[in-house]
Amino acid sequence: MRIELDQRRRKYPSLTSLIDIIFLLLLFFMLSSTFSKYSEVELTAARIGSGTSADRPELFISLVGKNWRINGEVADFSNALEILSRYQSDTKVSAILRVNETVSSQTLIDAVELLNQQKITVTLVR
Amino acid sequence: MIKIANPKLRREKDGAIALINIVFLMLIFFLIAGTIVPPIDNQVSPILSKVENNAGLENTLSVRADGSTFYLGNPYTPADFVEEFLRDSENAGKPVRVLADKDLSALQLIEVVNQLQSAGAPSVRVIAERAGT
Repeated sequence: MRIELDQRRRKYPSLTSLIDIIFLLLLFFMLSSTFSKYSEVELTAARIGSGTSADRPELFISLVGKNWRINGEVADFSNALEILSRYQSDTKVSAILRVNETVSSQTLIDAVELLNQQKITVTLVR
Repeated sequence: MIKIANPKLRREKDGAIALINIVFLMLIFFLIAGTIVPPIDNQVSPILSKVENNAGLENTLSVRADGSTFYLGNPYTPADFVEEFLRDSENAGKPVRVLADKDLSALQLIEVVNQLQSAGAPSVRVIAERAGT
């Protein structure tokens, strides 16, 4: 007597190993990926002897706490833009930025970003 | 000829297929939406910024709120970091990045930038996390 086994048996290989691998991949990507995005700001610190009298800066800005002093005028983050626009010109504007010990990095970077948006080159001094 | 039904065929795989579908979708979501970054110092809460330019996080020196500097989890001075950075000839002309804590004193940040520049770093960029996304 000839017995024929059902041939369909071999059509589907076990799904368990496939699930295992996909699960491992999922776990890896979940743990290693991040959704936060980063941006960057260039900082230039003044070096001794790097400046010449030819590139004398137009602006001297000092930060004290959250207050700005732009060429002697007192301002804050919101109206600094208004004062800065008075110094805008076609040529490149450069500024010296001075901070004191009450200023945090966050405030410094906010200020540098604001100045960079106005196409002002910033040099940091202590 | 007698056909003998294979009892193994009667296994339940409908549940497994549904599971695999969901897991597969999640896998594709994380593949596309997430980006893999080198591990960053978890003791640093980054500066927030609204400027949009995508920055890489390679060659990043982290500066904690107390002013101590770390590279890949080990304490490094800025000078040692730049020396190691410049030893790799592929890095010539590339910027050095600084991940500073947002509560770090700005004077200390400038001091670190100054030290990196004096040690020969071509340019120094500060990493900020995109706010409000």
